[in-house]
Amino acid sequence: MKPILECRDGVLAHGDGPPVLEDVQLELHAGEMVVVLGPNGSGKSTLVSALSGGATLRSGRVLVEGRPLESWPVGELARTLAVVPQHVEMAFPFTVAEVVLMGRCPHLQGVGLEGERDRQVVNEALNALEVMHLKDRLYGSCSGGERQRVLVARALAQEPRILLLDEPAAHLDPGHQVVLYRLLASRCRTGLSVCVVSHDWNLPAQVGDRALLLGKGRVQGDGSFAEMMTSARLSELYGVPIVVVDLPEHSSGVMVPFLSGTR
Amino acid sequence: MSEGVQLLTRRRLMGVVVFGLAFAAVAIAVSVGVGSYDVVWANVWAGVEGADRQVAIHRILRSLLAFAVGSSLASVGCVFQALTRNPLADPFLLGVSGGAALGATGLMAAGISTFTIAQWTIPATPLGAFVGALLALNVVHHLSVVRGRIQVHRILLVGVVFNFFASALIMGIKALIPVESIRTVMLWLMGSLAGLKPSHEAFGELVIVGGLVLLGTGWMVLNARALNVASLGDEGARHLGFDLNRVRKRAFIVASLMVGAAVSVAGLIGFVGLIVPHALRQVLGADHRTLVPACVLLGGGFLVFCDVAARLLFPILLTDPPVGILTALVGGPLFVWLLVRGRVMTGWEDGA
Repeated sequence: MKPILECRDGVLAHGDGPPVLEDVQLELHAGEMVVVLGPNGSGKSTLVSALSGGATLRSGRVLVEGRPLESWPVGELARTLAVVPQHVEMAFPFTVAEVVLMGRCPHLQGVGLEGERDRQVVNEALNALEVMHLKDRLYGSCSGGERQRVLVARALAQEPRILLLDEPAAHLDPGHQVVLYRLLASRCRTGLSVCVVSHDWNLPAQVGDRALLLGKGRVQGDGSFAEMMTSARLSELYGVPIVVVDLPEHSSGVMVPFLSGTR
Repeated sequence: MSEGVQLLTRRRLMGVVVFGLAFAAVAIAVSVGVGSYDVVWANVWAGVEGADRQVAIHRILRSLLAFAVGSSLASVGCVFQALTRNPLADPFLLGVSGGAALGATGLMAAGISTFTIAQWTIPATPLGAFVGALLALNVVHHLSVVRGRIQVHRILLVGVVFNFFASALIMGIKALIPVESIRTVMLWLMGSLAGLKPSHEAFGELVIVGGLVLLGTGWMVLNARALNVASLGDEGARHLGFDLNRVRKRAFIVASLMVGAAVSVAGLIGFVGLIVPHALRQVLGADHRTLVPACVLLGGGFLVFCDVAARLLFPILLTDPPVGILTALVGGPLFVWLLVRGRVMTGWEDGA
C-alpha cells in the first residue's frame, strides 16, 4: 500500500545554514500513528514544518498522497493536512469559538458564512477536546494547556486525512494527555493518519504504531516501540542514564531517566 | 449544557450592514441639511437656478466625498492592521502620507498649480499627491520584499523612516516657497474638504474615489477570511489554506489606490484609519466579515459628521477648520473612553 505521506532522501535546513537533518526517510500510512522523538534541537519541529510545506527541503522530496507537496494548492492542502503548531499567538482578540471555526475556512467559499454542518463539526471538536466551556473566552486569555487543546480542536475541525502535531501534550496535565492520546488513537482507527512530535515516551508507546528517532542530524531509528524503546537506545539518544521498565500487566513499558548511573 | 458555538448568521451580518447604512444615511442627511446658508429646499425641488440649488449640490457632493474618503481610510486602516498584525498600523503606513505630501508640496514649490491636457485643466495638488503616494508605496514595498516575500517588520520600519525622510524634505521645501503659498500647503497637509471646487470637478473626484471604495470594499469582503487568519501569521495562515504573501500583495494594490485617491482629494486626514477599526473591533469583535463592512459604512459616516462639525465651527472661527483636526479632537477622547471602558484591545493581553 502506498503511504499517504512520505519524505524521500530529505535534507532539511533553515535558509542557507548548515543542514538540520539529512537523509530523512519517513512513511506514514493511512490510519497509522508515527511518533517523532529526539532531544531538543534534533530537528523535530523542522521536520513537521517541512512535511507541511513551511520549510522547503534543500534536497529530496515530500509526497502527499503520492503528489509532490509543492504541487498542492494551499487551500486543497489545508483540507487534506492539518497542523497543530507548538504555540500560536493571535494578533487580535478572537474568541475560542472563532479560532476553532477558522478550521472550517478551507472548506468555505466567498464571504464564508459557516453552515449547520460546520457548526456540528466544530461543536464535536470542542467537546472532544473538552474545551466547549471556553468557547466565548478570548483565545489570548486561555492558559497554555487550554490553548493547545483549542488548537487541536481547530485542526480536527479541518477534517483532514493527515494530522501533524508538534508537542501537543507539552502543557497538558496527565488527565488531558490521556484524553488527547485516546482521541488520536480513536481517530486513527477511523482512518486518520497522525504524525506527532513528543518528548514523552510513556503515553505514545501505548498508542503509537511506530517511533521515529531523531538525533545528531539524522534518523537514528524507525520501528515499533517494542524495538525502539530500550534502555540502551534511549540512554544513547539522550546521553543520560535511562531505564525502560517493563510492566507485564500492561501492553507497554515506561521509561525513567536517572540523575546518575546504576549503583 | 449550552447549544454549542454561535455562528455569524446572515441576519447578524445584515444587521451590521443595515445599521451602518442607516448611520451613513443620517450623517449625509445632516450634512446636507446643516450649514451657514439656509437652503430653501422648495426652490431646489422646483429646479430654480440660483444660490439654493448651487449650495445644495455642493453640499451633497461634499458629503458624499467625505463619506467616500472616510470609508477608504477606515477600511484600509483595518486591512493594514490585519495584514501586519499590528494594531497601530494606519492607512499611511506604507509611506503614503509622506509621498503624497512631498508630491503636492513639490509641485507647489515649483509654482505649478494646474496641468492642462487637451481641454482638461487638472489641479496640480491632488495629482501630485496621488502620484507621490503611489511612488512612495512602490519604494517602500520594494524595500520590504526579501526573496520574493514581504517582510512585515521591514514594512513598518521602512514606512516610518520614509515618512520621516519625506517630512524633512517637506520642511526644506516650505522654507523655500513664498509665504502666501504656505497656507494652502498647510491646510492641505492637515486634511480638509473645504477647498471649494466647481461641481463638475468635485463630481469627477467623487466618481473616482467612490468607484475605488466600491471595488476595494468588494475585494476586502471577499477576503475577510484571509484577513481573519492573518492574525495567525504567515505560517498559521498557510496551515488554513491561505497564502498571505499573495493576499498582502493584492491588498497593497487595492489599498494604495484607495488611499492615494482619498489623499489627493482631502489631504492627510489622520486618525480615522487608526481609530475607527479599533473602536469597531471593540464593539463587534475581531471577525473581519463584520468588521470590514462596518468600517466602510461607519468610517464614512464618522468623517461626514466630523466635516459637519467643521462647518458648524465656520461662523465662530470665520474659517473652515481642517476636518483632519476634528477627527483627532473627536476621535481621541472617544477612543480613550472605549479603551477605558471596553474589553481587552488585542489578543496579546492576558486578561482572564
